[in-house]
Amino acid sequence: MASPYKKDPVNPMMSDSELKNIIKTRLPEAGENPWFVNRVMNRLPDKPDKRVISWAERSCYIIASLILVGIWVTTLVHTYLFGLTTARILIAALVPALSLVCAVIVAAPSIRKIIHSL
Amino acid sequence: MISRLEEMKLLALCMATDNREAFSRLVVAYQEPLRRFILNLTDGDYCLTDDLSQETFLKAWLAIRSFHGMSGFKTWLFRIAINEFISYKRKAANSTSASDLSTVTLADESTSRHSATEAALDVTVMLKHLPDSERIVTLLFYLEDMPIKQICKITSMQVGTVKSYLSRARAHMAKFLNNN
Repeated sequence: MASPYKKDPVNPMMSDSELKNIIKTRLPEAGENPWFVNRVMNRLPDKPDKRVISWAERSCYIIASLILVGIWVTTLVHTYLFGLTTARILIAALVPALSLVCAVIVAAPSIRKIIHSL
Repeated sequence: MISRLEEMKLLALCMATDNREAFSRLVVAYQEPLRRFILNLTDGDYCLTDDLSQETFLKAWLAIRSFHGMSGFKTWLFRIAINEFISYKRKAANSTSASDLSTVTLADESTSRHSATEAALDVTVMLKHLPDSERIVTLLFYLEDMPIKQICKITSMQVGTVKSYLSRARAHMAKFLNNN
């Protein structure tokens, strides 16, 4: 029996739409598999905490902490020696705020993990 | 199918809180096109299709934080699937010491004769005769209706390479259909 797809032998190339039609209609479908999603979900492992702190990140944390401690000490010493000025009040307000922000940024992943595990 | 906005919401939930429910909705949404694509890559092997599809979703789950959303989730998923398929083929080729399957072409006369008598107009057989790269590109273009640019993202090939593979595949398929 002659093939229904047989083309003119002089120009045997098929158009994209013809090929698309053949491929779409004749290729097998994957079909419904009601267990597939359950199987995938049952195989999902718990994600390991991939938050790897690189040495560069660690160094930044240490340097930032040292700078903060330095500013604290300098502010306290200067306040003790030269009295309270506007600039020193400003620094005294900013430094704790900055310390708090840094602490939250560093501690946030751990806090999130604890909340998530509850 | 889910909307782009819904997809982004589900992905954000997966990334931020490891939300399994959100991921299961992504699996439901994409399992059908992914399994159909892999089924036709694996010459209609349903067991292998389910295995590779599961592995694809597992890899996606584990690496979801590395998905930056530059391409769509489907594109990313299909890229993982192709890598899984290639890796499976490599392992299979190593274990059976078979010759490189990508070199099997229509020029292989014994296979052509065998296939022609067994399944005359079977499109699966036609695809089976295409080298892997041509088959992947053909399925993405003709079956999944993906534009060339998206195929480039999935396969990491240049536009010219994809077009060249498509053209060769077209010629191979026309030859096969005419011979049968």
